[in-house]
Amino acid sequence: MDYNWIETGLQLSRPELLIIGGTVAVIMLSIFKQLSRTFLFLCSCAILIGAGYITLLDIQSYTGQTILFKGAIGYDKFSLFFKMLFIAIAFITMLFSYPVIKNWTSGFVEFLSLLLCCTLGMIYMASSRTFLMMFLNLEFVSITSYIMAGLLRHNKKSIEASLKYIIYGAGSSGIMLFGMSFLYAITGSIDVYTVGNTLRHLDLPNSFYLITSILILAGFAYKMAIVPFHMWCPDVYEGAPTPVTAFFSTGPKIAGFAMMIRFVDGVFGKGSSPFEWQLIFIIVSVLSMLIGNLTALQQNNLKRLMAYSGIAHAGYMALIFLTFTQDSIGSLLFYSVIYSIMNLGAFITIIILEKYYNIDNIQSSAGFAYTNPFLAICLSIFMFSLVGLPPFAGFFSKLLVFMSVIKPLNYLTLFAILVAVITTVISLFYYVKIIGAMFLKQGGNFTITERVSLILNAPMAILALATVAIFITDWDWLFEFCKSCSL
Amino acid sequence: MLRELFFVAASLLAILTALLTVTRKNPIYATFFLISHLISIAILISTLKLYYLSAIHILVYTGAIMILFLFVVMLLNLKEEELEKDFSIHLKLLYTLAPISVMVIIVGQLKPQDINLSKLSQLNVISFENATKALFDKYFLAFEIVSALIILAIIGSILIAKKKV
Amino acid sequence: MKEFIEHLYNELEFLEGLPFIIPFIIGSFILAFIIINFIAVFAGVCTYIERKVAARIQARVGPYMVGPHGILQWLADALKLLFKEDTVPEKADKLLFKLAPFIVFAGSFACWVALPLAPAFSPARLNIGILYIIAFGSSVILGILMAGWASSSKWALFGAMRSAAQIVSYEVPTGLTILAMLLITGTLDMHNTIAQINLDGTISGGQSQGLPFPLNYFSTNADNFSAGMFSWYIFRYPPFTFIAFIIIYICALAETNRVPFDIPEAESELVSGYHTEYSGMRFSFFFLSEYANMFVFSAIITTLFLGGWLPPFNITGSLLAPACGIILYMLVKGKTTDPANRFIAFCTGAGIGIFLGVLSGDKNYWFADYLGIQSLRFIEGLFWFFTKSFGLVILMMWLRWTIPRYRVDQLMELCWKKLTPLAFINLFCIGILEWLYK
Repeated sequence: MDYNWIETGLQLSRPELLIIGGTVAVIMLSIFKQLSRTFLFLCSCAILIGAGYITLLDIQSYTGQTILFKGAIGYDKFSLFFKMLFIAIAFITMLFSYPVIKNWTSGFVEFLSLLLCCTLGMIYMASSRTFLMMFLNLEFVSITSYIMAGLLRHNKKSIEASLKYIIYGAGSSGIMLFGMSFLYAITGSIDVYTVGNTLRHLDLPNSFYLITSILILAGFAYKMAIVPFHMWCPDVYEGAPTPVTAFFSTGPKIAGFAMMIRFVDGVFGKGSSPFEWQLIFIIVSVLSMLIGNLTALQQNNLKRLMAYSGIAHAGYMALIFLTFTQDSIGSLLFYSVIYSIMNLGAFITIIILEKYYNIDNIQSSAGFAYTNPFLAICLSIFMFSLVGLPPFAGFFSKLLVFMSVIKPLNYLTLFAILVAVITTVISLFYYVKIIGAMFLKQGGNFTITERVSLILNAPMAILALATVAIFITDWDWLFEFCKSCSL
Repeated sequence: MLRELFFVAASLLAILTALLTVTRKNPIYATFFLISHLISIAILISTLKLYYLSAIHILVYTGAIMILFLFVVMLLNLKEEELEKDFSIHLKLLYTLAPISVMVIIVGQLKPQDINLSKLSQLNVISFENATKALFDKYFLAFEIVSALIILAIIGSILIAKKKV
Repeated sequence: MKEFIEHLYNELEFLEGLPFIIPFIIGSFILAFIIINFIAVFAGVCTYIERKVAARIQARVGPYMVGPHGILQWLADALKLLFKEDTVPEKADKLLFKLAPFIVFAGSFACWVALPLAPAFSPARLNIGILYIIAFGSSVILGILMAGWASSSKWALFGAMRSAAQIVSYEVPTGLTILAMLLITGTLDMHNTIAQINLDGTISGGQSQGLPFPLNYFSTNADNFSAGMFSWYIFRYPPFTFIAFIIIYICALAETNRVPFDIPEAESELVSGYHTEYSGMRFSFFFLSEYANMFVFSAIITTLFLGGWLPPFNITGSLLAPACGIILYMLVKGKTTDPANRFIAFCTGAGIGIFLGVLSGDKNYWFADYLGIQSLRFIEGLFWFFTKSFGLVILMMWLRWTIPRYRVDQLMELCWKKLTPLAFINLFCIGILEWLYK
């Protein structure tokens, strides 16, 4: 038998091998009691840095498309881009989670290893080409997420979050499998590109597309947190440990989008998705924008607010499936980079507020700006960027998505963009509410128990700087790079 | 002849037991009907000559998963009044009509020739040997990912079940 | 089985017009009837033997009154069970209570379908034989849980819970050990497992001999009869296959709820476990299934380790064994009065005889080869298969009266902390050896 394909596959997936090997090593090392937690943390960071470095080398030199492991995963710039992005997200999350998790009585090593494993699952999600791999990796990420959400075992809310996550997750992935089984029965293949080719030669009724699309969308939309599969989102975000929430709001969500892009690209092809499919997407994205933004207005808890903001952002991102051209995919990649920068930054500020000042809602943060102006300024930068106001990076990401969507101008896209713009204006209210509470209101004294750790402050400052810098400097190269990485 | 007979019988049994599972109020009965449903599915699989798959199906579901299920249901030992809680008639209607309408739309729209059974039979996963070969050939990565997934699940369950914190 | 009926169907002229399905179904029913009756008689005889063994070990006489040396005691017991009143407790869940014994019995009865009873003969030859047996064997737990819950008695429920936990846990080392043996055999088909042993002890596919029907039916794949006992799988990779044998035997004890692992029916704690509330025929079904299960497990072990239907020693050995045994017995008889010592002397003599037989290099193994009658192969294979399996069953009875009962936590500890890691290591080592030597 010929095993060259395994050799090639393993050679091209060195970052993944490093991550899985590192995970096992971290678990094994944790047996030795004399090794300090800092050491394990540094090990995990080193693993991610190594994997990121290898990916960086690959992404610079590589052009073209390779299919690895007999069609299981695709190795191209698209998957390399997401590999890089996920490793970066995991690295930043690991950095700023350290001050929080180092005092946990249990679950320290588990957090590190689960974060590494989740990164692996997300990487494979972005590169899977078959239904089997898609489902498996979705479950991989989901199961790690369930455990991570329930890491604080004594906290009732954490357990509730985990349980809610499991129930919604199990239901929606079951529905997704049901939908996939229809496509498999029709085409006899699980490879998305083969399925697409076969479907183009068949004359199938439109309602078939409608039903299978809704069913399959359930699994993806649950990961992306799009309405109507968003119900788990606020509770899980509130209950899970805050670093984990930060991770959920960026990593798995973007991984869901990456998988969705590959799926739509395979089954429907670029720019030619059937009308039913577009209709579904316009409905879910408009609903996400509306529900996300309108419900966020009434939120007082910071994490819940971020959850609804995340739902709204998923709605903006989902707009690109209306047109689904190379440009729009590129703009989504750009959006996901900017979104993860500002969202992670916003969550770092929330972690600091929670850990050092015991603030977890808007009311109690009144007048906070006078206690720690640096943090308040960083938070306002992230918030303004999340709205999409001009001097920050969020403006461009939104603008590019809207522009790429509106190109084939018809009443559908026009309607979608109108809703998007209106809801963006609505979103201004609740983001500014936080900033207003901090700067304009008078509040009580905020006592600090210890100095804010540098490991929290530094990433926050760097992310805030990046948000501004991408706007001021020439951001075009980033967009060009994203476009070159699109499928 | 015998195969067709078994096929029809097993499919009818599967539908019947599935319905009974959903409609029983007593969770123990529901579990037993679920088990018989899974067994009839296994018979259904074996009429397609996928004997290996059917044996694995029985081994995994009735042998392991459902036993644990039964265990939990028996240990919980739900009270009568807790069992009396019921859905309203509207919800019941919704839950029955939604799947039926999905099935009607899909099955009603498809022509039998659309379903590509010829490709299914080309799978070659029919015998045990071919199934194992496929696992280490075409589905190599999926197999490895499943193993990593199981390790993860073990870590998670130990973390949750650990007594000493 | 199906091939056999097909042969008959083609040969017999009066079946001409019938569709094949009718003789097939009739044949299946006949075979099922035979097996059910065999299980019933087997279980009956087993109870008698068990009581006799127990009496022997405890220096009692045991059943003595019915028939010579009480040999008909089991028949009397069966009659008593038949005529006893069938009681159903007031608060029991009637349907499940009545259904449970049949599910338990069906689970152990279904396993018999795939057993390779003789060369080229088993009720149904399945290419997933061993997997099928494991799968259906595990469905016995279902009936046990059903019985325990439906009785609405705390003894029964506790017994059922313990039993289910025990069986599910011990399936792990069992499965791992069977997996290790499957690495060697390379097939799930229990027939091929035996038939592929070659004359020189190597493993390959079996060949059939060109004999006329029905002789060929009984003699297909039978040409490895003279392979000898060192071709058995237990002697393949000596230390590891021995360990595997011991692990699986311990697990078999646990899975059939035998002492020292009979905590589900521990009399001193739980009256009699999950079948506390049962009486009459329903009780006897549990009883039958327990003995049927014992036999099934012994048959699996026989097939995987002890060469199934293959005879252990050649014609010289089988003549020398009783001769040497009797000689040694005679020599010892004058010196000791203890029958156990005499028995040991006989066994030692028989062993010496077998050893001499193996040394003699005689290539004729048992009657079929010696007499040149190929059709005897069937009976010979049947004889050896049942002898080996029955020997293992008797060993289980012997253990019952010599080893004290385990506690629940000790039982679980033995399974998860000792047997499972050992089975894993064993699997690993056998895998490496197989990789090196194949």
